[in-house]
Amino acid sequence: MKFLPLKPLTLTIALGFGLTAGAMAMASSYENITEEMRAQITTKLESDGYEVRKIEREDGMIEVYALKDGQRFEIYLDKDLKVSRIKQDD
Amino acid sequence: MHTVKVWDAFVRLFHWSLVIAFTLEALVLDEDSRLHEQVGYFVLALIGARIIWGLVGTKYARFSSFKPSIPAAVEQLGDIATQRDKSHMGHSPLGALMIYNLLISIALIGITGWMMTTNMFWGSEGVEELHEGLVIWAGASIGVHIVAVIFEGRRSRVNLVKAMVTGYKTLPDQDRK
Amino acid sequence: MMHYEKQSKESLALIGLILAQSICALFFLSDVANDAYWMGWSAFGRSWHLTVEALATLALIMGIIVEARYLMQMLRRQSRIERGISIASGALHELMEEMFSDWKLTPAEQDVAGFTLKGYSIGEVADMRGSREGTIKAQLNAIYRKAGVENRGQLVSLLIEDLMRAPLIKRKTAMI
Repeated sequence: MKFLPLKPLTLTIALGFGLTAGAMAMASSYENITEEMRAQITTKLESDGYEVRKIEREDGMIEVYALKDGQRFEIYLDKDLKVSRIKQDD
Repeated sequence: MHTVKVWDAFVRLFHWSLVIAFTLEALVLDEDSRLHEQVGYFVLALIGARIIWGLVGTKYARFSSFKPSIPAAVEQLGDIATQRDKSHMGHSPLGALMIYNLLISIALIGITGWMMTTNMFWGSEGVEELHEGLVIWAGASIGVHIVAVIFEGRRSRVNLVKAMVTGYKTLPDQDRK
Repeated sequence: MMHYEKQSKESLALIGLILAQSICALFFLSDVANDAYWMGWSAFGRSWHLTVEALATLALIMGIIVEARYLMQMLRRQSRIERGISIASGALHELMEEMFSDWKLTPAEQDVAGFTLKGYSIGEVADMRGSREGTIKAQLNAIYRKAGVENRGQLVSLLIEDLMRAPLIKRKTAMI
């Protein structure tokens, strides 16, 4: 193929490298809420009548998205897993 | 040089309002704020209005005047590759594809954003990631859009940005003699 | 023409590949940027993982650029075939492409040369390219200069000469 700027073989290798190396790269995440902590949080909140949807870090606090009585809540916990604030989403 | 009226007032107002709103949403406003939500709904309303206008508006605003067509877009790519000088009234085929891409992507951003406020999808990681992924896709598309408008404008010697402000395209003469 | 249909499918496939790879590249780029933002630029030094990811993304982007250039070349060839330049056969067309490449004609000059050899007048070429006649004339002068000839007739002769020297191909095609 005389229209390639590179030899076909080189082109294939470049493409292959790009694709497979890219596929190998794993998406990394920045997690430091342990499985243990999650279980504790979930049990505690469920016993208070909440349905726990998501737990994540936000501004140094732990933020929990939960539902209760058909209402949406954002619950903030400190590092000792004590509830510091409950915000209702309207 | 001759000028042609191409973009009506609504299309121009819509375009630049969307530019401001998207910039605010993606780069300025805090994503947890009420304002972020409200501007989001405003964007959805803007797009809704554009869709209606695309069905009943002026000639170049109508979707029927820039139907998505892959063969036409590939032909335009061919023209670019062979450095042919074909200017388009209204949206070019490639431009049309980008418009539909942006309208749909930004609409989906708004919709996924709204979904995140519903009980059903409250706290859903999937919807949140979809929302964020779409923002990245739209952001990259806008980057390509800006580069493309500048290059196409240079290539066809028509000031496209100015056209979207004043509504008039100033075309260079195609004098053959 | 079978050759043309196959080429047209190839360019579509290539466009699809470029799009798919661009989406992947976008994903990895935003991932690397996100990691670098949250973990700081020192993260590149601390773990090989982030560096490999960044390099892999770079390789992917380089691949996309090479493909895009190839696509433009493919579209140029296709565009000439579409215009009925190779009314004769693959052989004549291949020869033309080779000569254009040897003379280092720009894409615009290649287009003009192709139309001219096909027999279109300056006015017709100007129409098809959306240019002025003056532009076409200037381009033709550049073409003649690069080919080492003085006029259209001599340009055509160059092509015929080469064609006669080239071995005949097995398949039977009508050469006009």
